[in-house]
Amino acid sequence: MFLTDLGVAGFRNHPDSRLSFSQNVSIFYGRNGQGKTNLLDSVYFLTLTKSFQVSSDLLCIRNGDPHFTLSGNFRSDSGLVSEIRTQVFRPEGKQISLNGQKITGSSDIIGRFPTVLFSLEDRLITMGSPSDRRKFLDSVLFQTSKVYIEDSRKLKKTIRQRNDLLQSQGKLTPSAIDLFDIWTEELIRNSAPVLRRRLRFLHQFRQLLSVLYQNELSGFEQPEIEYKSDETLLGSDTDAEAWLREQARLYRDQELDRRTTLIGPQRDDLLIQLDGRETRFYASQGQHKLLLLAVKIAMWHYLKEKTGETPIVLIDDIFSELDSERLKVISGFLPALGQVLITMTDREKLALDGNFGFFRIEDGRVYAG
Amino acid sequence: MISLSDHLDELVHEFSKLPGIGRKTAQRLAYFILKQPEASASQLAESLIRVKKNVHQCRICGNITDDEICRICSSPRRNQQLICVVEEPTDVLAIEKTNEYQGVYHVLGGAISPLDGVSPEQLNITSLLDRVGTVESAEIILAMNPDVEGEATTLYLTRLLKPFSHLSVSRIARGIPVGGDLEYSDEATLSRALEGRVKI
Repeated sequence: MFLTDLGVAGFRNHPDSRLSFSQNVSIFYGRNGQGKTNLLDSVYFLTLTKSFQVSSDLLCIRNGDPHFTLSGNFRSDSGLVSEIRTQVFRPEGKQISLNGQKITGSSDIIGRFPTVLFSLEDRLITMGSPSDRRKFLDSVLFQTSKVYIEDSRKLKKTIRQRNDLLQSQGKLTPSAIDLFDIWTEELIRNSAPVLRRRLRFLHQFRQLLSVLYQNELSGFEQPEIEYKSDETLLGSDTDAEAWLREQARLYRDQELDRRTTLIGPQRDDLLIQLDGRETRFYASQGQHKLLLLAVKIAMWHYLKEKTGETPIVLIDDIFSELDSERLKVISGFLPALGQVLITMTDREKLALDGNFGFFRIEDGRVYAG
Repeated sequence: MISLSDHLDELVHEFSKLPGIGRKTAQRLAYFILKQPEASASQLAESLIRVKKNVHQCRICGNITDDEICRICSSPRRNQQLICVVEEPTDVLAIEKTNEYQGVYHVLGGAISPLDGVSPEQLNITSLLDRVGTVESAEIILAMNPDVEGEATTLYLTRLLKPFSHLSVSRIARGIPVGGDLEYSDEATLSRALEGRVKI
């Protein structure tokens, strides 16, 4: 997938910016706070229908503007051209059209324009909380399976219903407990497909990760990534429904007592290790960085294989964090990743031969060259 | 904001309580009524009152009717041993449009949803149990919406109806719409259709 033209109007600090891309690697440079990351975010918003910087669409509208409009022309690997146009209005309203046709759900866009973001936030995958790691899982799976998006939505709704049932009652009557058992069954049924798909994904992903870390990035250690549910590691051959049913049985009393849902994939975690030691506690800064590069490049490979389309790569400011050795390694990778958009403060930082597109960003305006 | 008329404001307020009607639309509707001849406004008002006074639930199935028993329940051509359970009266209309179904209905009046404060006691479930208790044998078709609430309601009813040995209980199939091409079906629908495949 290749983004050929980008229009950004009223988005964050960009009043009206238009860019055309021809080279594989494009670099947005300029001082801090000028709007480089906002440009990456606009591409992310087009292909994944939300911002990676802020949680509310409205916060993306430029101060004083009534709405923002993003437009992007994309060329697929096979040469097909599509246009996405996204508008968000105050006080509330989002309109997305694909090739002039209004689309109803974001799942019609997500995954058709696979996108991988490298950012400083990635460190949360190896260092942060379980929810950060689940977010990573979802960020990959949402792009590869519409069914997973649908299943996750259903699961979320089921949990809200089940928790509401537990929390809205004074004393739990026998009939409320009967109903609780019904919602438990519904929870198991809606959890199983989510869990199954995650386990299947990891089975493939861990092999990709290991090859990338050791062979391509010359890491010394053996990386491992495993699925952890209730302190138990689940392999890809786990019977998801049986596991959940057993969990439901074990935690039934506690759930009724604490009045909340204690089981299900929305509580699971990933165990990430190097040579059998959990990275969260034992890895050095350098190991974290190398592993994260491997994770993200593995995600790129996985998305490419599953969607049949070369993902667009957005790299936000991670070069300032890398030493010259790693810079060399990642620079070697860049040309093979298809289209890559990079932000950096200093245009000379990536001392590379090659044909790059340069854009200077200043106060929300873009100057080519 | 300056108010031009208290009466008009009141009407706008009433309209804006309707589902899907925001303040702006409510205003437009109110001004429209204002411009209409008095006769058509009276007609609307009377129609509203007549609906509230004369339309009620069928004593047997819970569907809406002007009479005590609805047209479907009282029809001699309908198979009273075949009962299709649905959430809302609009679902009855949808199934009736097929012109295929010859049985009768039972309208629950919603689906189990703790978030919306809907518990089984608020649905027409007791009347369903009373109803199936009086027949010698019957086939029950559960036709809830395929969402989380509909599925929970299906589970609930399935458990409730299981002890009745004279009943055969089924649920409607989910899958590819007729006339739809496989390649144009969305992935979620296709995957459900694969799950619910039928042996031939």
